[in-house]
Amino acid sequence: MKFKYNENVKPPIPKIKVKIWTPKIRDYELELVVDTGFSGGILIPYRLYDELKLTLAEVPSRYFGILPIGIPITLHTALTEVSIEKLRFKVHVHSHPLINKKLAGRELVNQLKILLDGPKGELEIL
Amino acid sequence: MGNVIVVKNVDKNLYRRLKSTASLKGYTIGEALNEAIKLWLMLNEAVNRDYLDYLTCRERSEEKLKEINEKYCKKCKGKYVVVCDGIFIGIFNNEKEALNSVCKSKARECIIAKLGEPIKEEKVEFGMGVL
Repeated sequence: MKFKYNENVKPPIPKIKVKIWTPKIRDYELELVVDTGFSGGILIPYRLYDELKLTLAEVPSRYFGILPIGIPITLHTALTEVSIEKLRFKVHVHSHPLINKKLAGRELVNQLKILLDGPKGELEIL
Repeated sequence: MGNVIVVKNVDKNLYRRLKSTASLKGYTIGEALNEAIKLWLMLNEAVNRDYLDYLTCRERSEEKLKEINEKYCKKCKGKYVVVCDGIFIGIFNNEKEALNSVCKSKARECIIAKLGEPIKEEKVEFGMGVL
Protein backbone atom coordinates (compact mmCIF):
# COMPACT_ATOMS: atom_id res chain seq x y z
CA MET A 1 0.00 0.00 0.00
CA LYS A 2 1.45 3.32 -1.03
CA PHE A 3 0.27 6.81 -0.20
CA LYS A 4 1.58 9.98 -1.80
CA TYR A 5 2.91 12.72 0.50
CA ASN A 6 0.84 15.88 0.84
CA GLU A 7 2.63 18.22 -1.57
CA ASN A 8 0.64 21.28 -0.49
CA VAL A 9 2.82 21.53 2.61
CA LYS A 10 6.44 22.66 2.29
CA PRO A 11 8.38 20.44 2.71
CA PRO A 12 5.86 17.68 1.76
CA ILE A 13 4.44 15.60 4.62
CA PRO A 14 3.64 11.85 4.80
CA LYS A 15 -0.03 10.91 5.06
CA ILE A 16 -2.09 7.72 5.14
CA LYS A 17 -5.67 6.86 4.29
CA VAL A 18 -7.59 4.80 6.84
CA LYS A 19 -11.17 3.74 7.35
CA ILE A 20 -12.69 4.05 10.80
CA TRP A 21 -15.79 2.43 12.19
CA THR A 22 -18.22 4.98 13.61
CA PRO A 23 -21.75 4.63 15.00
CA LYS A 24 -23.03 6.73 12.07
CA ILE A 25 -20.97 5.53 9.11
CA ARG A 26 -19.50 2.03 9.17
CA ASP A 27 -16.36 2.74 7.15
CA TYR A 28 -15.57 6.41 7.10
CA GLU A 29 -12.46 7.26 5.09
CA LEU A 30 -9.97 9.61 6.68
CA GLU A 31 -6.76 11.09 5.38
CA LEU A 32 -4.28 11.54 8.22
CA VAL A 33 -0.94 13.25 8.51
CA VAL A 34 1.63 10.97 10.15
CA ASP A 35 2.86 12.65 13.32
CA THR A 36 5.24 10.66 15.53
CA GLY A 37 5.25 13.52 18.06
CA PHE A 38 1.61 12.66 18.88
CA SER A 39 1.42 9.71 21.26
CA GLY A 40 -2.29 8.92 20.76
CA GLY A 41 -4.00 6.95 18.00
CA ILE A 42 -5.96 9.33 15.79
CA LEU A 43 -6.75 12.99 16.26
CA ILE A 44 -9.67 14.62 14.44
CA PRO A 45 -11.48 17.95 14.82
CA TYR A 46 -14.33 17.89 17.36
CA ARG A 47 -16.87 18.89 14.70
CA LEU A 48 -16.10 15.72 12.72
CA TYR A 49 -15.99 13.59 15.90
CA ASP A 50 -19.48 14.81 16.75
CA GLU A 51 -20.78 14.44 13.18
CA LEU A 52 -19.62 10.80 13.04
CA LYS A 53 -21.37 10.15 16.38
CA LEU A 54 -18.15 9.02 18.01
CA THR A 55 -19.58 10.70 21.12
CA LEU A 56 -21.71 7.53 21.37
CA ALA A 57 -18.70 5.21 21.67
CA GLU A 58 -16.63 6.97 24.32
CA VAL A 59 -14.29 5.30 26.77
CA PRO A 60 -14.70 5.70 30.53
CA SER A 61 -11.08 6.79 31.10
CA ARG A 62 -10.16 10.47 30.91
CA TYR A 63 -7.50 11.55 28.48
CA PHE A 64 -5.49 14.75 28.89
CA GLY A 65 -3.60 16.18 25.98
CA ILE A 66 -0.42 18.11 26.71
CA LEU A 67 0.15 20.80 24.11
CA PRO A 68 3.75 21.54 23.03
CA ILE A 69 3.59 24.72 25.11
CA GLY A 70 2.86 22.60 28.21
CA ILE A 71 -0.84 23.42 28.58
CA PRO A 72 -3.09 20.42 29.41
CA ILE A 73 -6.49 20.05 27.71
CA THR A 74 -9.23 17.47 28.33
CA LEU A 75 -9.72 15.32 25.26
CA HIS A 76 -12.86 13.54 24.09
CA THR A 77 -11.97 9.96 23.34
CA ALA A 78 -13.69 7.04 21.65
CA LEU A 79 -12.36 3.56 20.97
CA THR A 80 -12.94 2.29 17.47
CA GLU A 81 -11.68 -0.05 14.79
CA VAL A 82 -9.39 1.29 12.13
CA SER A 83 -8.73 -0.52 8.88
CA ILE A 84 -6.09 0.03 6.23
CA GLU A 85 -7.05 -2.38 3.46
CA LYS A 86 -6.83 -5.81 5.15
CA LEU A 87 -5.15 -4.60 8.35
CA ARG A 88 -7.40 -3.92 11.33
CA PHE A 89 -6.56 -2.34 14.68
CA LYS A 90 -8.35 -1.06 17.76
CA VAL A 91 -7.34 2.57 18.17
CA HIS A 92 -8.35 5.53 20.33
CA VAL A 93 -9.76 8.52 18.45
CA HIS A 94 -9.25 11.83 20.26
CA SER A 95 -10.70 15.26 19.63
CA HIS A 96 -10.97 18.74 21.10
CA PRO A 97 -12.88 21.80 19.85
CA LEU A 98 -9.69 23.86 19.60
CA ILE A 99 -7.85 21.31 17.50
CA ASN A 100 -8.39 21.35 13.81
CA LYS A 101 -5.87 18.76 12.63
CA LYS A 102 -6.25 15.17 11.41
CA LEU A 103 -3.27 13.19 12.68
CA ALA A 104 -2.14 9.58 12.94
CA GLY A 105 -0.09 9.20 16.12
CA ARG A 106 2.22 6.57 17.57
CA GLU A 107 -0.56 4.33 18.94
CA LEU A 108 -1.53 3.63 15.32
CA VAL A 109 1.79 4.12 13.52
CA ASN A 110 3.64 1.73 15.88
CA GLN A 111 1.38 -1.10 14.74
CA LEU A 112 2.58 -0.68 11.15
CA LYS A 113 5.77 -1.31 9.23
CA ILE A 114 6.25 1.91 7.31
CA LEU A 115 8.76 2.97 4.71
CA LEU A 116 9.09 6.72 4.21
CA ASP A 117 10.45 7.24 0.74
CA GLY A 118 11.23 10.95 0.85
CA PRO A 119 12.79 11.32 -2.62
CA LYS A 120 9.73 9.66 -4.20
CA GLY A 121 7.34 11.49 -1.87
CA GLU A 122 5.68 8.20 -0.94
CA LEU A 123 4.73 6.39 2.26
CA GLU A 124 4.58 2.63 1.90
CA ILE A 125 3.04 0.17 4.36
CA LEU A 126 5.13 -2.98 4.13
CA MET B 1 -0.67 48.27 0.55
CA GLY B 2 -3.14 45.45 1.31
CA ASN B 3 -6.62 45.83 2.78
CA VAL B 4 -6.84 48.63 5.33
CA ILE B 5 -9.48 48.36 8.04
CA VAL B 6 -10.04 51.06 10.64
CA VAL B 7 -11.27 49.76 13.99
CA LYS B 8 -12.64 52.05 16.70
CA ASN B 9 -12.43 51.52 20.46
CA VAL B 10 -9.37 49.27 20.52
CA ASP B 11 -7.85 49.11 24.01
CA LYS B 12 -4.51 50.94 23.76
CA ASN B 13 -2.80 48.72 26.34
CA LEU B 14 -3.93 45.54 24.59
CA TYR B 15 -2.78 46.96 21.27
CA ARG B 16 0.64 47.85 22.74
CA ARG B 17 1.05 44.31 24.09
CA LEU B 18 -0.03 42.83 20.76
CA LYS B 19 2.47 45.04 18.93
CA SER B 20 5.42 44.14 21.15
CA THR B 21 4.64 40.38 21.21
CA ALA B 22 4.15 40.33 17.45
CA SER B 23 7.43 42.11 16.82
CA LEU B 24 9.29 39.76 19.22
CA LYS B 25 7.97 36.79 17.25
CA GLY B 26 8.67 38.37 13.87
CA TYR B 27 5.00 38.82 12.93
CA THR B 28 3.48 41.92 11.39
CA ILE B 29 0.51 43.37 13.28
CA GLY B 30 -1.78 42.27 10.45
CA GLU B 31 -0.53 38.66 10.70
CA ALA B 32 -0.93 38.65 14.48
CA LEU B 33 -4.45 40.07 14.21
CA ASN B 34 -5.41 37.47 11.60
CA GLU B 35 -4.22 34.69 13.96
CA ALA B 36 -6.11 36.26 16.87
CA ILE B 37 -9.31 36.58 14.82
CA LYS B 38 -9.05 32.95 13.62
CA LEU B 39 -8.60 31.74 17.21
CA TRP B 40 -11.50 33.86 18.44
CA LEU B 41 -13.78 32.54 15.70
CA MET B 42 -12.75 28.93 16.33
CA LEU B 43 -13.33 29.27 20.06
CA ASN B 44 -16.76 30.80 19.60
CA GLU B 45 -17.86 28.33 16.95
CA ALA B 46 -16.66 25.36 18.99
CA VAL B 47 -17.85 26.24 22.46
CA ASN B 48 -21.52 26.64 21.71
CA ARG B 49 -24.57 25.47 23.62
CA ASP B 50 -24.59 22.08 21.95
CA TYR B 51 -21.03 21.43 23.11
CA LEU B 52 -21.89 22.46 26.66
CA ASP B 53 -24.87 20.04 26.55
CA TYR B 54 -22.53 17.29 25.49
CA LEU B 55 -20.18 18.06 28.41
CA THR B 56 -23.09 17.93 30.86
CA CYS B 57 -24.22 14.58 29.44
CA ARG B 58 -20.69 13.18 29.73
CA GLU B 59 -20.52 14.27 33.37
CA ARG B 60 -23.88 12.59 34.12
CA SER B 61 -22.75 9.39 32.39
CA GLU B 62 -19.53 9.31 34.42
CA GLU B 63 -21.48 9.61 37.67
CA LYS B 64 -23.94 6.88 36.66
CA LEU B 65 -21.11 4.61 35.58
CA LYS B 66 -19.53 4.88 39.03
CA GLU B 67 -22.82 3.75 40.63
CA ILE B 68 -23.18 0.84 38.20
CA ASN B 69 -19.59 -0.25 38.67
CA GLU B 70 -20.12 -0.44 42.44
CA LYS B 71 -23.38 -2.34 42.03
CA TYR B 72 -22.49 -4.86 39.31
CA CYS B 73 -18.69 -5.00 39.42
CA LYS B 74 -18.45 -8.45 41.07
CA LYS B 75 -21.59 -9.95 39.58
CA CYS B 76 -20.93 -9.04 35.95
CA LYS B 77 -17.16 -8.66 35.79
CA GLY B 78 -15.86 -8.67 32.21
CA LYS B 79 -19.20 -7.73 30.67
CA TYR B 80 -19.85 -4.41 28.95
CA VAL B 81 -22.04 -1.67 30.33
CA VAL B 82 -23.57 1.16 28.30
CA VAL B 83 -24.55 4.48 29.87
CA CYS B 84 -26.06 7.21 27.68
CA ASP B 85 -26.70 10.79 28.88
CA GLY B 86 -26.52 9.56 32.47
CA ILE B 87 -29.06 6.77 31.87
CA PHE B 88 -28.15 3.12 32.36
CA ILE B 89 -28.92 1.36 29.06
CA GLY B 90 -27.85 -2.19 29.88
CA ILE B 91 -25.19 -4.81 30.42
CA PHE B 92 -24.00 -6.74 27.39
CA ASN B 93 -22.01 -9.94 27.01
CA ASN B 94 -19.54 -8.49 24.54
CA GLU B 95 -18.35 -5.23 23.02
CA LYS B 96 -20.13 -5.83 19.71
CA GLU B 97 -23.53 -6.05 21.40
CA ALA B 98 -22.73 -2.88 23.36
CA LEU B 99 -21.75 -1.04 20.18
CA ASN B 100 -24.92 -2.18 18.41
CA SER B 101 -26.99 -0.75 21.24
CA VAL B 102 -25.39 2.70 20.93
CA CYS B 103 -25.82 2.75 17.15
CA LYS B 104 -29.59 2.77 17.67
CA SER B 105 -29.38 5.39 20.42
CA LYS B 106 -30.53 8.96 19.94
CA ALA B 107 -28.50 10.10 22.93
CA ARG B 108 -26.00 12.95 22.93
CA GLU B 109 -23.22 10.96 24.57
CA CYS B 110 -22.57 7.34 25.57
CA ILE B 111 -19.85 5.57 27.53
CA ILE B 112 -19.06 1.93 26.87
CA ALA B 113 -17.11 0.38 29.74
CA LYS B 114 -15.91 -3.07 30.68
CA LEU B 115 -17.13 -3.87 34.18
CA GLY B 116 -14.39 -4.35 36.73
CA GLU B 117 -11.77 -2.47 34.75
CA PRO B 118 -10.31 0.59 36.49
CA ILE B 119 -11.16 4.05 35.14
CA LYS B 120 -7.82 5.71 34.51
CA GLU B 121 -6.48 9.14 33.72
CA GLU B 122 -4.17 8.98 30.72
CA LYS B 123 -1.79 11.53 29.31
CA VAL B 124 -1.50 12.12 25.55
CA GLU B 125 1.49 14.01 24.26
CA PHE B 126 1.22 16.32 21.25
CA GLY B 127 4.06 17.36 18.99
CA MET B 128 4.32 20.63 17.11
CA GLY B 129 2.17 19.07 14.35
CA VAL B 130 -0.94 19.84 16.38
CA LEU B 131 -0.41 23.61 16.15
